[in-house]
Amino acid sequence: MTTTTSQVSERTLLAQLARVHAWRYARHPLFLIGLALAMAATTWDIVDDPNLDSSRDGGLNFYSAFLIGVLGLIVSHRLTRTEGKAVALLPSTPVSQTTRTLALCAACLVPALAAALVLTVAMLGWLIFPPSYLQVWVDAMPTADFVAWAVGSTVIAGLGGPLLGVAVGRWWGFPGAGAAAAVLTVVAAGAGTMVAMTASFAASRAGLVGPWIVWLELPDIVDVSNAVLVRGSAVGHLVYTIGLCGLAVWAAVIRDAEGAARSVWMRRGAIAMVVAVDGLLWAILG
Amino acid sequence: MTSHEPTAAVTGVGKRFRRTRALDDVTFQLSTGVTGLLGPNGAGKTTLLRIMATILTPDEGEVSLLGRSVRTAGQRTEVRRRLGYLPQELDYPRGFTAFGFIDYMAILKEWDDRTGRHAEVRRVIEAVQLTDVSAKKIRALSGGMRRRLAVAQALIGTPKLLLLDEPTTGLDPEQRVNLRRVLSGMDATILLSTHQTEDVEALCDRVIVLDQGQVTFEGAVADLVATAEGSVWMADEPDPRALAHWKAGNGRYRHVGREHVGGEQVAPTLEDAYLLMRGTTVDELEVTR
Repeated sequence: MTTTTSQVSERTLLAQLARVHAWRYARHPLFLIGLALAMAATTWDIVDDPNLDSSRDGGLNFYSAFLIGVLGLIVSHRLTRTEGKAVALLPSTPVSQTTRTLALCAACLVPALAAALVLTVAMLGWLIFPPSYLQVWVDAMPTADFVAWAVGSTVIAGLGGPLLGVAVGRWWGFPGAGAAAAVLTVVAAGAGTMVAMTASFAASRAGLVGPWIVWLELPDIVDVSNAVLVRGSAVGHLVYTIGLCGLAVWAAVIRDAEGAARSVWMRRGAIAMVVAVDGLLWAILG
Repeated sequence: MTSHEPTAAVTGVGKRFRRTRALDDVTFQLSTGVTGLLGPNGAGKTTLLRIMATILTPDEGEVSLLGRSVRTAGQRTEVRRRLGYLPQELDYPRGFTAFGFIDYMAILKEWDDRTGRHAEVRRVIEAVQLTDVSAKKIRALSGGMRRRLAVAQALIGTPKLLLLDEPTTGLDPEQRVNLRRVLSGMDATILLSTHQTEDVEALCDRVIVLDQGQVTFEGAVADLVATAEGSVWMADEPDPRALAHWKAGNGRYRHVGREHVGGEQVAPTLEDAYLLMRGTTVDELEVTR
C-alpha cells in the first residue's frame, strides 16, 4: 500500500510541520545574524567593565527583544508569506490551514529558545562578574518579579515578536508588511517604556500597556543613578505579555478557521483576551 | 483500461466571479482512466479543476468525487486524502530543496511515518526524473524542472483522483513522453486539462471540450476526431474558403473546413476536429493562445 488514507493524528502532523518550519526558521539569515549579535553584545557587556554603567541592562532584555524578537517578526512574516505562496495547491490537501498556521506559530519557539539561551549566558556571566547596576533590580525587586521581568522581556519578547509576524503574514501577506509591523512594534514598545520611565507619567502606569518594559523609572532623566523601579507587578506584566502572545496566535489562526474550528478559536481568543486584560490590571494595580 | 463505473460526477455546476460567468450548468462523469479537458483560454477549465480539487465551492450544482459529495467539510477531507492536484501555476515556498518541498507536501497529505514518507518522496521524484537535483534549492531549478516537481507532488500517495492543469507546459518532448508513461501506468481517474491536443490523443480515451463555461462535447476521443472526417484536405495552394489553413512541413497547405472545396482528403487529427468544433480560424487560435 503506497497511500495513507487512515486518519492520522492532527497533533502528529502538527509536530512534523512545526519541525519543518522550525528548521526553516533556524536557518534564516536574519535570525542567525540577530542571534549572533545578541550573543556577542551580551558577552561584550559582561566582559567589558561590567561595573561601570548603571544604565545598561546587559543582555537581560534589550538585545534579545530587539535582535531576536523584533527581527523575528520579520523572519516569521517572511516564512508565513512564502508558505502561502503555494496557495494554489495547499487548500487541496487534507491538513487544514489552522494546523498549518499553528505549525508556523510552534516554529516561533526557536527564537524563544534562542532568547532563553542569551538570557542564560547573561545570568552565568553575572554570576562570574556581578555588575553593580544589577543591584537596583535585585535589591528592590521581589525575586518573583525579577524573574518575571527577565523572562518576560527576553524569552516572551523572543516569542511574541515572531508570533505577531505569523499573524501579520496571514492577514497581510505582501512584502514589507513584516518590516512595517516591526517598526510599529518598536514604536509601541519604545513609547511604552518611555512613558513608564518618565516620572511625571509614572503615577498613571500607562506605560505598562507597552509589551516590553525596562522597568526603571527615572526621576531625573540626566542622572540615571537615581533610577528606581517602575511601580506595578512584573509578574502581572508577564501574564499580560503571555496573553498578548495568545492573542497573536488567535489572530493568525482565526483568519482562515472555518466551521466548528472557528467557534473553538473564538472561545480561545476570548480566553487569551481575559488573560491579557487580567495581567495588565494585575501589572498596573499590583 | 477504462472502467465504466463513474468515479466522479459533476452535475449542473455553475460558478460566477462577479459579473463573469465562469461555468454554466456543467455536467459530466468520469471513470477510471485518463480524460482530456480541452478548451480555449478563459473557457473555465481551471475554475472547474479548482472546484473538483475542493478549493473553490460551486455556486450551484453538485460535485461527487470518489463516491463522496464535497459539500461537507468531513467529506471534503476524505476526498483530499485520495486526491492529487496540479495547479496551472505554482509558486514555491522559499528555502526548500526539491526533496524538502515534496517531503513537506507529503506531510500535508498525512504521511506521518518518516521512513515510509521519504521512500514515497524518492519514488515520485524518481518518477519525474529529478533524482539528480533533489538536493538542490528550488530556486536553482529550471522552469521545466519546477514543473516536474509540481507534477511529483501530485503523484504522492498514488492518488485515486488526479487533476492536472496543463501538466506538460514547459516540458521538453522527452519529459512529456515520460509523463505520459507515468500517467498511463496509473490505476486512477485522471482529468488532464491541456492545450496540447497531441497529449490528449496519446493518453486519453475520453475528452471533454469546454467553451465559454459550457460543455460542448463529451465522449470518446475517436468520436470527436470522427466529427472531422471529410473536412480536412491538403492542397498545393491555400484556399481562403476553408475555416483554417496553414503550410505543413511538406510544403503543402492543410485545410480544415465544413465544406470540402477540393484537394486531397486526409485523415483528421484531434486538433482538426477541435478547430472545426470551435469554428475557430488559425488566426483566432493564435490570439487565444
